[in-house]
Amino acid sequence: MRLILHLREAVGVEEILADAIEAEKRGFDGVALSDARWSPTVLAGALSTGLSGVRLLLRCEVGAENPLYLVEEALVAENLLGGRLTLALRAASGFEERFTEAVELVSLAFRDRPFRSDGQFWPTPAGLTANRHNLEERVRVGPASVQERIPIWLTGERWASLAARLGCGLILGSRESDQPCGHLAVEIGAEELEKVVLDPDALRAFGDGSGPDSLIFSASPDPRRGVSAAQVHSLIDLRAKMQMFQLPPGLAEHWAESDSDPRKGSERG
Amino acid sequence: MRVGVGLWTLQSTRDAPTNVAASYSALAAQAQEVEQMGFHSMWFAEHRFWYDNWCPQPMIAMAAAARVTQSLHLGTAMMLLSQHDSGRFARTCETLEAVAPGRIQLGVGLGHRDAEFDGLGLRRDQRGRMMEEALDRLDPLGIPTWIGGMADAALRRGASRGHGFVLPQTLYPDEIRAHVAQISAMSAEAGRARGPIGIIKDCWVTGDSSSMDSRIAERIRRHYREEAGSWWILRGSGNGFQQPELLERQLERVFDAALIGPANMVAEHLGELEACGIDLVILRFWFDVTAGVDALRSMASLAGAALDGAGSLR
Repeated sequence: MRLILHLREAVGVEEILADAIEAEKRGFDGVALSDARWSPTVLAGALSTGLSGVRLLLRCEVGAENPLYLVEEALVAENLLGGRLTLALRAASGFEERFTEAVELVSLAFRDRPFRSDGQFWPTPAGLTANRHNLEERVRVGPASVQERIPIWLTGERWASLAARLGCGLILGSRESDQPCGHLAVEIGAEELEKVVLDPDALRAFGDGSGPDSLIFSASPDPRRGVSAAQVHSLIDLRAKMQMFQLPPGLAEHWAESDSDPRKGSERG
Repeated sequence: MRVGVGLWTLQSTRDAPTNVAASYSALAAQAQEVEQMGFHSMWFAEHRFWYDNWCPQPMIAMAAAARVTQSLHLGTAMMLLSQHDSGRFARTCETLEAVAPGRIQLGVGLGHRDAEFDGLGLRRDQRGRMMEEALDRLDPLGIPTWIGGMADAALRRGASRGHGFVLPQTLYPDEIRAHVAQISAMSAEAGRARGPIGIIKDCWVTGDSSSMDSRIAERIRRHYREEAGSWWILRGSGNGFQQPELLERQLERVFDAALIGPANMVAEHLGELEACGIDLVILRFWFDVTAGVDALRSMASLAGAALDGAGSLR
């Protein structure tokens, strides 16, 4: 299971960049950035020189603008990151009716070949009579991605069938789902995390074969608080307990011992 | 006069194929080299929907260059502003400015290729209006803005807003002086202080044992022949390849105005540009057909011969 830290948003760019680098140091597999305040693709470009292994999950709204802008930005960012990029899409408020077409267009444009789309909202190319010279019947969006195709995840259970049809991943707010999709990510808040860590049944539910592929942990919404040491500890502990179906006798006690005596502990937290 | 270098496009063309991901991976180190050479700025350009992977969103690439440099300015020459969603692009600029405070130079142009507008569902004949709308969104951000082109409408637009200007590479000294005078007059008429005036110049320093010296002229000519032949509407309709005589005449002018020669000769020409009233020159060393070590060596030769260590002509 991959652990992704969704960084706090209501802070300055320097804090976000520092948090991302810290997340990589602490062992997270991925860092999520949203478009709530800053351009996540610009941040991804900036982070491409500071991160060496973490995958970026860019969580972006689509529907209000032509999705090809986002496609182009994501392709450039993905090249800068050497391929370590996933795009998570959600419907822009008030533009839900355009979401399906937007996702189809993004998916098509990521395929690195000339295409046309006869959609209702963004026919591509548009074939406008005002444009006359050297028109093309198809467009190809560049640059080519490093990955065979940039992974797309959709946010919300209502898009499960769309995700299944297009081979997209799905981000849900709960693990209680048996939706078929390419990749299941579950968002978990700080309070729920504490419960999961303390509840062996909940832990087993996460860890069994139908559990999520990724866990997205939201950093505190309070901009003054970064991710606390205890929260990071809980996550790393959670993963350690889930990476094996059954822990050998004594290992859990060994870990608990190092937790209670910092001198014996690792560098966690 | 400030001296910058460009134009990073991250293309992989038929004449100069390169692995795209490798080009992006090399970008940060190239920015560091440009900074160490003492240039004022590094410039990027935008195009889309073509076979060559031309970077369609240079602001994202500039963010990477910004994080590994301290004083180097990063600019676009040009961003095809009329092809962008103004709200989205304003946030892009705001974020990039936060990444590199005071180091972003926003050169903007209208864009000319119908296929790019059509691919985005936009009307090319509305590009002037879209440019005005976008500038209305961008001006409050306070990022230095440079208007590209030499048409009256472009110059008037820049003069009325107090922006800078970037003139095209084909102008000769007399024409440059005339444009500087025209811009000054338009600014006075608009009641605004005249913004700085820049110019793009194709450039190559010869005589440093570069293996490319003997072939540089033909390489640059082939670059422009492909671009102008495929895209430019030289008369009526069709493309440049369909108007071969006009195309060759245009290429001759482009090539004639280029600064190609030993470092001291190029430096002398830069002095002439400064005397014409130019405040910033963007030297285009970096083409698809020249990108790489040879281009960096050529830049370094000029930097050693002509720069003052602070990004200006000595």
